[in-house]
Formats: sequence, C-alpha cells, structure tokens
Amino acid sequence: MGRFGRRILMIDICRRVLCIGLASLLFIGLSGMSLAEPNEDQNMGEPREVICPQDGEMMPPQNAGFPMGVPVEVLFNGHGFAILGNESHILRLKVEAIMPLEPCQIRGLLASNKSLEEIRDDIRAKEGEKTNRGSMILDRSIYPLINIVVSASGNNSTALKADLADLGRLSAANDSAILGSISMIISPSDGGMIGKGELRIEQGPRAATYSLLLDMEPPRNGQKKMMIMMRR
Amino acid sequence: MASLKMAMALLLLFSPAALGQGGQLFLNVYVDGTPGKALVVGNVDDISGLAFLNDSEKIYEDNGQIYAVCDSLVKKDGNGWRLSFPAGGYYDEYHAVFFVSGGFAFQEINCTKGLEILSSAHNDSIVLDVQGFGLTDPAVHFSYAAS
Repeated sequence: MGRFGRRILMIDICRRVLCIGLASLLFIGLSGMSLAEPNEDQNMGEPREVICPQDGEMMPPQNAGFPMGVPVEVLFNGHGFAILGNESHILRLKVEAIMPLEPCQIRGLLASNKSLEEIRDDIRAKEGEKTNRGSMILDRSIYPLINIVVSASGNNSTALKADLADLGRLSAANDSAILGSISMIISPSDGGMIGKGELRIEQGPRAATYSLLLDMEPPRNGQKKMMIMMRR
Repeated sequence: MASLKMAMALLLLFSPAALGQGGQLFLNVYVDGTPGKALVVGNVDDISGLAFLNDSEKIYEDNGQIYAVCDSLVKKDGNGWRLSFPAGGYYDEYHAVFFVSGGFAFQEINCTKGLEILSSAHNDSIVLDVQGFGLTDPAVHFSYAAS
C-alpha cells in the first residue's frame, strides 16, 4: 500500500470513528430527552376479599383482567423507540406465556406439607391452561398489557394487539382501567425481526399517538431434557 | 420520517446482537406473609448469581426453569418484615415479580438504580413488579407490615 493508499485508509477510519461517535451522541441526546422521573403514581388498590383454598388445593384464577401466574416462556421481547414528531422515547415490550396461578394458591401450596417436587408438579398441572401476560416500559414507566391478541399476518409476519391497563382501576372493574392500546406487525428484516406499529396513550401526561419501531428478539426457552438438582 | 430512519439506524447500531448478550432472569417470588417462607419460580439463565439458593431446596432444569423454597429472603424487621433479593452478575434482562399474601402493605421499597417498579394490590396480596435491562448486580429490598 502506497503513501496515498495509507492516507485514504486513515481518512476512512477517521470517518467511521466520527460516525459512531456522532451516533452515540445522538443516542444519548435522544435518551436524555425522554428520561423521566419514576412513576410516583403507584396504584395501590384496596385488596379484595377472596376465599383461598387450604392445604394446597388448586382452584381457578380469580382475576379475569390482568393474569397472574408463573412465567414459562418469553413469546415476544423487543426494544426500540416510540416516536412522536421529533421526540424519541425508549420503549421495551415483552409478552410471555404464564401458567395461571393466583398468589393465594401458591400460599396454599407453601402452607401444605407437600414436597418441592409435588409443588412443581401441581404448578405444572396448570401448563395446559397457559395464558399470555405482557408489559411495556415507556421511558421509565411500566404499563401492564391486557387483552393481548396475537395473530398471523401473512409473509411470516405476526400481528400483536393489546390494551394498556391501569392495574388499580382494573381491580375495581372501572371503565377507565384501559389507558390506551398498542398494535404492531412483527416481520422478518435483515435476518432479524422488526416490530412496527402504533401506540395510543389516551390518559395521563404521555397521552399521544406514537409510531413504534422495535428490534424483536427471537423467542427463548423450549422444553429440553430435564436435570434435577436437589440439595438440603 | 427522518426521525424514524434515524431511530432505525440507532436500533441496528445498539441492538443486543451488536452489543453482546448477558444473562436473563424472569422470576416470580411468592412470600407467605408471616412465616417469611418464599417460593421462587421462573426462568433464569444462570443460578450462580443467586447466592440465597445455595441454602435452599431447589429444582433447576436445564431449560432454565427453577423452583425453590427459600427461608433466607425474608427477615423480621420491627413490626413487619423485610425482603432482600440480591442477584449477582450482569443481566441483559431482569424481571422479577414479588407477591406477598396475607393482608400486608408495602412500607419501603429500595431497588438498584435502573430497575423500574410497579406496585399494586390483588386478591389480598401486594404485588411488586420490577423490571430492568443491562444491569450489574441488581438488588431489590422492600419492607412490609400488616395493613
């Protein structure tokens, strides 16, 4: 390589470093714009009366709204941006499969004299009733997702729709328990999966309609051979 | 449109594939109010960072699914109880949900910076949903007492 060639190479390297630096600065700037204080408006609804079974007896879940249960598999997991005009807000989205179990059911299991294997088997017995649970983090606030609907959308794409829940109001069966909605299409793109769609927030300080762009990770987990480790 | 293109470029530049993957932790922790016994259920890539499991009865399957009964997570704290849930190591994704049954209310919640929390009450249980990304040694501490 001649002197001129080395010079061209150096210029090229400098350009690349400069580009990465500028992109980093832009990213930090965008993140800085959307940073917010943690959600102080924590929903501490009044506990409701419920009759829990004794001795580890299983019973159906009590809450038809936001499902409670044990996570078994992450179905959709994405991170990216919610875009509103010139603003970019960091957004995370996760939908997981859960085995529906109420905390009081687990309490019953803990209070029983069952072994850990028996407790596991009781939990696993609910696997046939798998349901979906999801959440979204916009900037630094967590929004639980309800009414999650996943459907095929052609061309190896998947449509995902859900409502944003206000947990406190949800337990009171209030009409305003739904804060907004999210809808997106997840499609293959450059060897990965990209989610594009729309986020509508109808209440609160972030109320607006955002465009979404998420990098979606492939599903995790899967049943393999089991290895059991017992101690004590 | 320009914002969308810029976001797309940043998305690809800072994707997990470009930055490298860390461990993932998705756990539910069920606490039986007064005795302080806890059932830990969920999925975690590597349990070596969960030191409290060393003295716990547990089942860990090679798909990452874990079931454990722990006595060491909850300690008596004045008129109530205090739960400490430390996780050593780097976590690309962290999502822990804590359920405390039996008519309690949160007194104080302290989490590692970068963890976002959402607390709620549900069917005689208090629930703390904690999520975070790209965290080293995340820890959750909270106290609760009879409401």
